[in-house]
Amino acid sequence: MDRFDWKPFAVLSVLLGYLFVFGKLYTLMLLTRAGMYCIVTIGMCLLVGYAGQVSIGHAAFYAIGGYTSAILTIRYGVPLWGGLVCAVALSCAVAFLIGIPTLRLRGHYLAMATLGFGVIVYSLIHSSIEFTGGSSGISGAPPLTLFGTNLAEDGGIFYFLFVWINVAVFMLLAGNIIRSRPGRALMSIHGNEEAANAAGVNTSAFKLKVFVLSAGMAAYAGFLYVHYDGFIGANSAELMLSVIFVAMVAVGGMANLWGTLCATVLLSLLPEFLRRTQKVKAADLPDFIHNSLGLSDTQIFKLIQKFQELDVLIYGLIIIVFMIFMPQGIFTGTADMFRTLARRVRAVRGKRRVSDAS
Amino acid sequence: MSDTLLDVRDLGKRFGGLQAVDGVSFQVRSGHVKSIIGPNGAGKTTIFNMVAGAFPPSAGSIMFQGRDIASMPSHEITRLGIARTFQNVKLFRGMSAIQNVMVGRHCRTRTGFLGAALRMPHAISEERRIRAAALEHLEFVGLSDIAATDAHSLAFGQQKTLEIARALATEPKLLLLDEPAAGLNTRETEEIAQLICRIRDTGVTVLLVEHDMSLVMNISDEVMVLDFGSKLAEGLPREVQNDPEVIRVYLGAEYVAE
Repeated sequence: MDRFDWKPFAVLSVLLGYLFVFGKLYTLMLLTRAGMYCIVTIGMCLLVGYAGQVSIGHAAFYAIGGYTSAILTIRYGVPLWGGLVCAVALSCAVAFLIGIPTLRLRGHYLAMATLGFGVIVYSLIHSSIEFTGGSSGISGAPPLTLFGTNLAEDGGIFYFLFVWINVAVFMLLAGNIIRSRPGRALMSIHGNEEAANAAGVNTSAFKLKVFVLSAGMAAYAGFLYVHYDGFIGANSAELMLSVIFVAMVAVGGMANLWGTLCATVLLSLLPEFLRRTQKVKAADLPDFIHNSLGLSDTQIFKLIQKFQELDVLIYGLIIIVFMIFMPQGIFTGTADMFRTLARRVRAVRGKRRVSDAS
Repeated sequence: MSDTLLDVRDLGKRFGGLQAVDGVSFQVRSGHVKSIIGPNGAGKTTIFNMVAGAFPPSAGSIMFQGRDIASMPSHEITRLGIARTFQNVKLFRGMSAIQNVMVGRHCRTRTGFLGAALRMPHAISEERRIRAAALEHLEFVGLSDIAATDAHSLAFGQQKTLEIARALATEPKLLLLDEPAAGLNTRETEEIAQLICRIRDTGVTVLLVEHDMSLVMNISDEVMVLDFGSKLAEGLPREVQNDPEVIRVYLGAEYVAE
């Protein structure tokens, strides 16, 4: 087994430690949420990035996890750990049932099936009001307690730590997997499924296993979310969220766990940046915009509002731009960029030296 | 070493209206190198695909060491001891040469998700054995110096050899080589011929599909000629070479003159 790389973990711990001590509560809250998404995308990185099996329904597993635990703990007084076990088990069972017929085949059948599945789960949550609360969702899920401490207290600073310790553990486990026999089996499926079969890999079984694993991780993240926020709504099962999860893995560079982690944090903070820019009032805009566009304040305000509804478009644009200009992902891509830049700078300096000498 | 390893009977495959393989029977003896030759479209690769389990035959049986493997999935056939290479090289994209060969060890090892994730002692020691075995196979085919290179950036000849190493890593009793010399130059073809002989000397039986006649005639113990999905002739290389029917449909008159 290759040596485990501690450097990124050290950087991550220092960064999170800094935020934990000096960060605003609001930032911590955003990063707690981002950490939950990381748990989903680490699983999806194994499924989509390494095994090459695209799922466009992981928000549904996330929602199944959250709703199952919320309903059981609120309505039936099931203890939290019971909610957790049921949430993960149900999600895995559903994934198993979807996976059996679709993963036996080669090609993008899983993407189709999960797309349909996600839509079904969303509309089920929306329509079975007496069970899921419909569009108003479920609130009042008990907060997660550990060793008698309510983790969501004090603005959830302990929740922040707890979630990110979870992320670190999952990173470690996923990294161990990809550096060994089952990980190579997943990569071989992506590399060439027919050859993987011929080399003795039971490809259908491995695709099914990694799909179920990723669904279980998504459900666990959903569980963490609902007992943090206390509330879960139908939007947690939205198609858009599933697409964002895929985008996070794609922007991270597909078969790249650290890339996926970075991309997940960046993309989950993106709506926040957008919202900040949305607060810009029409009157704050510099005059030349008014002049050049020839629009009134109210017209510009409406225009801005229109743009505000476009985060879907922005996500789509991000995916396209990355696929074209940085298919190796944000992590490797940026490193490559700096390397090329450094080489160019060196070349220019070299030239200058030559011309100085002459 | 004269017992039958592979016994194919009345094998048939129909693709829609096309009868690709029609009632072909043959045996492969343990320790032999047997070649299947014939014009393009004669059904050679189709037979390979059925023996390797890529798809099931429409008719007939395939007995390997006394077991019917005709409807088995290919990964199980590989575990029973049949490995193959592909006519157009199929290596794993994004993986290094040694990783490609390490995948070949998959069917002889056991570590699962849990053992790997938790780095259990047995998983760590098995991983070490997998790497050592893969290196040995790379050394055997003469590629140990490019172990860490990305498989797809290797030269074509090296890619073909790497595929053979990956197949050998599964510890096959029967190795199916689909046109191993296609696209190679004379020197590389000579190297492949030597490699095939060395593989046979380790006790692995070889079934070969190949167009390079000098290669086939030099290393084969037995040759079978296919034409339009049916068997045209079968026998020692010398016999097949002098068969008037084989010369007419495949070898051509010039070949006899050589």
